[in-house]
Amino acid sequence: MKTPIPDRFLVSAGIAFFLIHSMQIGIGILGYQRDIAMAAGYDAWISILISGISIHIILWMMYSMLNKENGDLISIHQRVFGKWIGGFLSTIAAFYFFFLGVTVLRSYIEVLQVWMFPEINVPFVLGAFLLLIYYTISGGFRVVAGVAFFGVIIPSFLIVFLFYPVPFGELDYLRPIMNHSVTDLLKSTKAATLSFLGIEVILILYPFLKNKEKSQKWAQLGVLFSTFIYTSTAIVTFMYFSQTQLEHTVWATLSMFKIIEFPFVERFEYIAIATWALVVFPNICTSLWCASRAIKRTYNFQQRWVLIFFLLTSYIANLIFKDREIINVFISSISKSGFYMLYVYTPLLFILYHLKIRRRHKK
Amino acid sequence: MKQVLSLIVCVILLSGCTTIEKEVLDEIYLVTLAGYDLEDDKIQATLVVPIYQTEGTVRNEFYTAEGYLNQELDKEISLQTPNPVFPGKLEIAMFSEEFASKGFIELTDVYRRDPSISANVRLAVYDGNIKEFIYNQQVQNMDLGMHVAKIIEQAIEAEVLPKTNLHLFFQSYYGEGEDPFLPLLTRKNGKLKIKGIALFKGEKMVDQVLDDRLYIFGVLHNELTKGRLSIELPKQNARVSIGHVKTNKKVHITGTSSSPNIKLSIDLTGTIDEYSGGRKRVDKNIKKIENRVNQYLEKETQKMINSYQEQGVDPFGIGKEAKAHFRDWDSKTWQEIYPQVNIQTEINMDIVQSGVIR
Repeated sequence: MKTPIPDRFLVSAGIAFFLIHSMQIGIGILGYQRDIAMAAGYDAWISILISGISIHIILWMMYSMLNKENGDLISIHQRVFGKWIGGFLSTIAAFYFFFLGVTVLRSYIEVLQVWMFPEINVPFVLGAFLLLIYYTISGGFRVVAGVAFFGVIIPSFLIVFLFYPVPFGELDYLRPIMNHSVTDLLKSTKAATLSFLGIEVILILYPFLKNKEKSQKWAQLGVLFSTFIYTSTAIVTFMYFSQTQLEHTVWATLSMFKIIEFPFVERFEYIAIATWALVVFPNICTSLWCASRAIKRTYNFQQRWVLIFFLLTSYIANLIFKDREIINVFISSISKSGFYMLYVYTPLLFILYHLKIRRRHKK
Repeated sequence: MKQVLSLIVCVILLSGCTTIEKEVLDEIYLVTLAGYDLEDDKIQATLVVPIYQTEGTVRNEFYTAEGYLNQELDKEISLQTPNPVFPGKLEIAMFSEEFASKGFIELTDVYRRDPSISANVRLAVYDGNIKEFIYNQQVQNMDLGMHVAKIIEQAIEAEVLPKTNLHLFFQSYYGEGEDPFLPLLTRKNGKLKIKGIALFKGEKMVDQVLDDRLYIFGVLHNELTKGRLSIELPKQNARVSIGHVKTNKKVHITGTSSSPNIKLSIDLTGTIDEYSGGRKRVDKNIKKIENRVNQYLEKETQKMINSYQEQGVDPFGIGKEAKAHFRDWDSKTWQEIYPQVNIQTEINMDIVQSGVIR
């Protein structure tokens, strides 16, 4: 089991930045503002900073385990819980990654349906997307990492357009700062953490990084950059919409892009949505790669067949769950489990793992 | 080989041979202006569709329908048009004054719900019958919707009107401690003209600012950068016009949230463009002119604010400023105390130069 991965399959440590960041920026950023403003009103940008800091700590915990183990989640599970329970937990983790990918894919297709093509042929687009995902993942981890790299670089021009809505905004909406109780802020922090989900992938892909210990710096930088993007987007949004208006807005970021007009582009949000395919694509690829990799490591199946199984399942699942309400329940349960995975399970595992290591050293 | 094959399949699939309905530009009608009148209790919608003809000219086509809901109107209009009608290029939606004073928010639901409609669509109130205006308009060889929108755009550019569009209207409609407003249009000598600003309290139009008072409104509402102000100087028996007026508005709030004291202090800087005081040198009178401007603007702005306080409308967002200042601000109490709140204006004019002659 402990055979190191050959050098030619590894990616350099700096790519950790792109992998982590592209996992964190997904479909959530198109409409997270309403959810975080629910509890803490327009102080919610502070909660983003708080949850950003907490994510740094969680990521540090993950790295501290991974560095000791020099392996991945599967070997950590086996060391802490033994073969059977560990394998079971790894399977759950695999399915979590799988559902994460499915959620993002489903939400993106919904954005396409709502904003661009109401009559879109879902089975067809889904099929095309999944084929492309299969093609990417079967190219191996290096291809997935490359897609993540371009999925950050190419859409980054959209950051500039964040400034366009500012002249239509009101700084007064943000004041007075800190006018909500700590409880409210924490509630909204919980909502904000959902946007930061995705750093879990480091638990699976860690062995594929060169200079593993050094890569932490890059991964942390990735989180920092995500925090920056989420905070600045939230501040611009809060200035642009009055509070009740935001409550009526489902995709606040896209609605904000609607104000941008050029002589040659009547509707900028269409460009943004099309570009967003490049943002969600690496997101889905990384999740599904992690899912299939975790199963492969646990049961020694061939990754290609696991991947095909996952892709077919997600195709069917996406077609079965058409109802908006079921999708909502599905999405919120995934994000909830993501929350518990990060904030309950990871610290727990962190403590158990270090206790185990220490006990072994004593013996 | 397998990978090459799957790549080819992906390229073919993703290159657009999907089953999405195509909409060829020549085969659809794009509405640029929608006007809504009230006929009895029914809504009468008049849509303007520009038709670009092969010889390079534009002709406007009009369609009218009556009904209660947008969907009904759409249906009736689709019975009249040779091509399907789409709202994606809507430039302006106009509501008759009668309709505006009864409230038209429900009708605009579709404007916010439909993602194909821009956030930059202009909304406006029209003093008169819109259907009559559209059917008798004299704009030649130009898209009527674009034409009307440009009149408003030009006025915003020149800072005659404060910025307005669909998004900003709903920003203040939903915002606490502020009320929305829209441009008010009318017809003069057969041509469209900006009559002023229509003020709303909630969803209903309650008052209007006429065009000679727009400058006062502008000074109070936003910061101007290129305004022009002309004023009478009774003592010198002269008129003076001040250009390039830059304003800087500051709101000072003291007291408590239940009995606040609000002072709007507005600094203006400008240059003298024109002076009709005969041979008397203008530079000796600058101090007097400044004082006169201060006096005049203070009186007028105070009058405007007090009259809005009486009516309980707040187009300048004074409540919003108070909300940003007081931690215990509350929308309900504010609405109760707003008419009695002590709001002072303080104007400070500074004339920086008087042109190339003395």
